[in-house]
Amino acid sequence: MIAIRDLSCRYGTITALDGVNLTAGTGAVLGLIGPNGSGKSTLIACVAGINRDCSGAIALGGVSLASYGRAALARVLAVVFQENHIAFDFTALDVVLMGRSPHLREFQEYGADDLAIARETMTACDCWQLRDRGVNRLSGGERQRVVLARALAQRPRFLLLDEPTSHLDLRHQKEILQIAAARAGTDGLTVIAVLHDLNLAGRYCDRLALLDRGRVVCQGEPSAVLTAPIIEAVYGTTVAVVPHPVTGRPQILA
Amino acid sequence: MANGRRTQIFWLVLAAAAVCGIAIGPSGPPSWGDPQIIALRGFRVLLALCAGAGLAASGASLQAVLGNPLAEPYLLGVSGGAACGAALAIALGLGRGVLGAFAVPVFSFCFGLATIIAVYRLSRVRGRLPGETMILAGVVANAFFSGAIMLLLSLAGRQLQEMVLLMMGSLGAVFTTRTAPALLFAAALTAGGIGWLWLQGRRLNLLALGEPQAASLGVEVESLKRGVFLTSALICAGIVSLAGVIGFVGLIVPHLARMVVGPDNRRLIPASAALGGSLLILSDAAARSAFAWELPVGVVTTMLGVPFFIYLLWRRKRSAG
Repeated sequence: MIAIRDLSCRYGTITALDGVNLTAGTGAVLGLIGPNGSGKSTLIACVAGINRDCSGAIALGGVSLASYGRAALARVLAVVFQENHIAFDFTALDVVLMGRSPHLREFQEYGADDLAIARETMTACDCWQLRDRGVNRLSGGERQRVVLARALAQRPRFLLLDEPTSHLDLRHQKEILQIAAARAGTDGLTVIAVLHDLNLAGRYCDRLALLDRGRVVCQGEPSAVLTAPIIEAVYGTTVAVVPHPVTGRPQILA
Repeated sequence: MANGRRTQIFWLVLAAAAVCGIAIGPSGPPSWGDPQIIALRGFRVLLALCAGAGLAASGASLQAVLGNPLAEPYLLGVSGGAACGAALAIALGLGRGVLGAFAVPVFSFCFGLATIIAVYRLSRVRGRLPGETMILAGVVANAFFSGAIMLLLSLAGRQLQEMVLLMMGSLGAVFTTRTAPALLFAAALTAGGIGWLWLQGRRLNLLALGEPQAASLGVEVESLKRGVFLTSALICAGIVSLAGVIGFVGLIVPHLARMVVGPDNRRLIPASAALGGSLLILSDAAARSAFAWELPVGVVTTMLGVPFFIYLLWRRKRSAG
């Protein structure tokens, strides 16, 4: 469980987050949605311990974020970022093994168990067959699966996804979210995902939180958040909401 | 595993180069009964080894830290800054005696470190380090320091020869019982520096993912960067104060080594060090025996480095377009 209490963050005169209260439950995916500049990525950076210029309290499984050192945090929390350019031509397997780094002692080499974990997560992300390919020669969808496998190889209890599906086509968008949602269920992961696509958010998230100008406007089940009056008020445009013909989840039509 | 064996090849090459370095010279192979020539060439080989290994290993590490394959002590202006510091120490008359053995490297180090921090700050654009702005900042730093060295040259009297050698990059410093401790000190500094960089290999690899990604994998990114900058400046200062500015070694060598052992810094840093040492020992052997007069080794590495740099730029342009 990730509990966020009264989180605020200011860059100079700009208020990126303004008293955010959120709870993400164990074994579930919390989707963060909202217009550009609403503070979603800042929220992820705060929870990831990368942005330390924030006030308020963040607790991971009841333990304060502030009490974790960098390395200790990396053993329980993994992050998938939006931009994943990788300098130099590491192979996909090299990159996934890097996810084991926080679990190694100083100067310890990757061992057989690290390789076994990398193989397991790469198989789960359908990229084991890409292991010897240079990661920069993979397509966007393949690379993002490798990056997700790397995050899962950290064996985290908390997983943060910052727009993991931008620049991907529909099939790959769905794959990434399906894997994350399945892992949340089987491994008891707590997942927070920033998503741009409201329909994907409605389809794969157990709960949604809608941010606007640094505040949580509304949170709850997708059907409670994705309603025409709420979306129209926050995004400033008219929409129609219809139930998905198969899943019954709310779908936004522009 | 195959890459592990490949790294060993570099050590064999280095050993062969060292033997060549001692055997080759204007006066031919030394007979084993001539310890003076062996000692003189041995010192020279040791200086070439330190310079090549140190510059190549710090080039590889700077490339990892800056996420940019064009980063290198010479192109970033670090060597130029260190040379300017050394020239200043010489111009101030601090280059004499026991004090000189310390004042020159200390001035070199301070100037080199200040340069790398300035270039890094100047070229950082919104948290990223585009190759082009970094090279530009390095060009500006080099222009400034060569101007400053010219100024010192114009004011210099007896120290002129010493300063010219600093700018050209030469392994021809005459080793006597007085300067030998400085060489041994620089060698120890270089060896320690390379060792430290090597131990950072796994963390340096994580930086390839990007700085926030590396931080999310438990790397203290800022302190790692500071450590690499500091170590590179130390290595450069030791080398520059003895051998002057030797360009492009940190660019060419890690690239060649990367082709053989791959991008993993745990193998790349030792492989670069061994290959850099070999390259400089052989370049120096060629430089002092190919012509009737002695060619400064910095000229040789620049002649090799410039076409290589143009090739890298051309390849970047092709992959971008």
